[in-house]
Amino acid sequence: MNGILADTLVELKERKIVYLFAFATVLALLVIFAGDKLGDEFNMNMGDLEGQGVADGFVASAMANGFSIFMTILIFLAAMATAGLIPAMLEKGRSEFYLARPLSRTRLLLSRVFSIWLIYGLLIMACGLVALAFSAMLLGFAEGRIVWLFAVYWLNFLIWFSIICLGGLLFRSASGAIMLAFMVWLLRKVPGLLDWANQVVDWKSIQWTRDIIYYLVPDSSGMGDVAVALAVGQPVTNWMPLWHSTLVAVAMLLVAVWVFKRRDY
Amino acid sequence: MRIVETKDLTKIFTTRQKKGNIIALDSVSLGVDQGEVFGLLGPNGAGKTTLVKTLMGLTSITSGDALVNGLPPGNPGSRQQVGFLPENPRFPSHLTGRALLVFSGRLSGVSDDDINSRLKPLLVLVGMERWADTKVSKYSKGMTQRIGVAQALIGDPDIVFLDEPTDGIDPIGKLEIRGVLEKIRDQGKTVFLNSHLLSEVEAIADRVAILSRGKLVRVGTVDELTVHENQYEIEADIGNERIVIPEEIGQRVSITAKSMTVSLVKPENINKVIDELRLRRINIWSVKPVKQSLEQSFFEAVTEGPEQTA
Repeated sequence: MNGILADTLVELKERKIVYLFAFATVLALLVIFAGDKLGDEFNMNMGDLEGQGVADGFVASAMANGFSIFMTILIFLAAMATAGLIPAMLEKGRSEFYLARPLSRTRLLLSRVFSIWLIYGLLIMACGLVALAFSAMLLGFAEGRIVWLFAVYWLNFLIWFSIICLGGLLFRSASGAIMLAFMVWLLRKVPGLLDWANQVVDWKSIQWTRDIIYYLVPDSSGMGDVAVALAVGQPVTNWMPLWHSTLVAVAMLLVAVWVFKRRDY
Repeated sequence: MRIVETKDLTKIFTTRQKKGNIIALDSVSLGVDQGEVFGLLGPNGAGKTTLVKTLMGLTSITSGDALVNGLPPGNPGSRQQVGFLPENPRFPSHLTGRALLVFSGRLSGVSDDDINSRLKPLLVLVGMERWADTKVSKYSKGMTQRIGVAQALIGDPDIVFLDEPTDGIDPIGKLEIRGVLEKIRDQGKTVFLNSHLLSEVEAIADRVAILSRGKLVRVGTVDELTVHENQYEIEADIGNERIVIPEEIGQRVSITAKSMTVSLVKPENINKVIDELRLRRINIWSVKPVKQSLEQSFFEAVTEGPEQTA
């Protein structure tokens, strides 16, 4: 990647973002610790259900949902932390440093995007694995399938970062990138509202609009359901959120490359 | 061999303002030969940076052609063996000077072995070895420019584009940068020096181009640009002789007992003036074209120029 991956790693280290993730992980560990104490109370009050399938399923589901929330928080942090990275590349005096190289703009941008995704993704994974290790030690929860949940959320980070990347290129600012991501997140709520509206007035145009928005906007919540189902070993009832969200991310990246290539710097 | 060539290169920036589009470059045709130091002069806003940016593929071309290393600037291959120091560079602040050079080399596709072998000599060349492990965010303007020159050279390029390398630097810093430029020139590299500082260009450039309002108004060596058109100074034993030059030949600008300056209608008329002096048996010791300073030549060139809007 022409040194871009290594540079992104140095940049991450220098920005001290790691401490933010460490703080979030410590909070998660405190929640796990509190969960352990609550579990003891639960067992004392309700009797020891250990060994029964119901109890195992309950713990697995609660843990999967807990990790899902933890991963969502980490992705939010990563999105905030990375929002300024692409606009920083485009600053006057800085863009020339990157662009006046024997590299195509497509390669340059994608190298940067995938370096950020890989490194910040690994950071998210590392936090998740630390929390998982503590869960295993404190709660005896050592479910290997939880790694599926991490993988889906890593993909989820790519999806949100593709939006942030496009926002950064369009607005050339971190705040612009965050605003775009926020708008997309808000737009995700629209299909639900239109479903409600469709029950009141049965118009086809509302249904079409709902479907268009549904397929144009990444479905993080749906992806979370896929992730939890995979983590607890249940069959996934709807893969669509994962596929169409990934396709949206690919489309966003293609648009980002197109914008990056046609701009004057 | 031409390493940079442009033909009728035009760049128009479209604006939504009423004043219309901005013609940043207007049919610029020039060539830079391998191994020469080419100085691009022009006042602020003349289009110098735009020209360099189009050659580096940073800015698109509206019409006309440009070739760098025989390839159009849009082709990444044209930037192979090319170094570039942008105007007011802002390097990634998390890097030290040394890390910046390593990253710069990797971005340019240089192997780690080559980078390592070039690091020290480059840091010595630009006088930055003492501050190589200091973050670039802590550098002064002069230090930033010097490490900027080093990062432009890390790929051992055939041509280096330097956009206002001494802009905003104090006189001592300017002198240091000029010293670095002289060393680059001595290494036989082609240097495309973009500046509005006449003394800097005059001191180092083999050829100079003057850009004014997007148009190329003069190109040539410093000697060629500073020659006052059709004016000659004749060193001769004139004494008290009364020399009259007919209007169809030219006119006498000044005269002393030892010399005379004439402004001629056409250069060949100098022979008629010499014939006249010889007829009067006046000894002629030398005849040379009158030179003006580069500053005067530059001022003359930039006072001409088209409207900027279309």
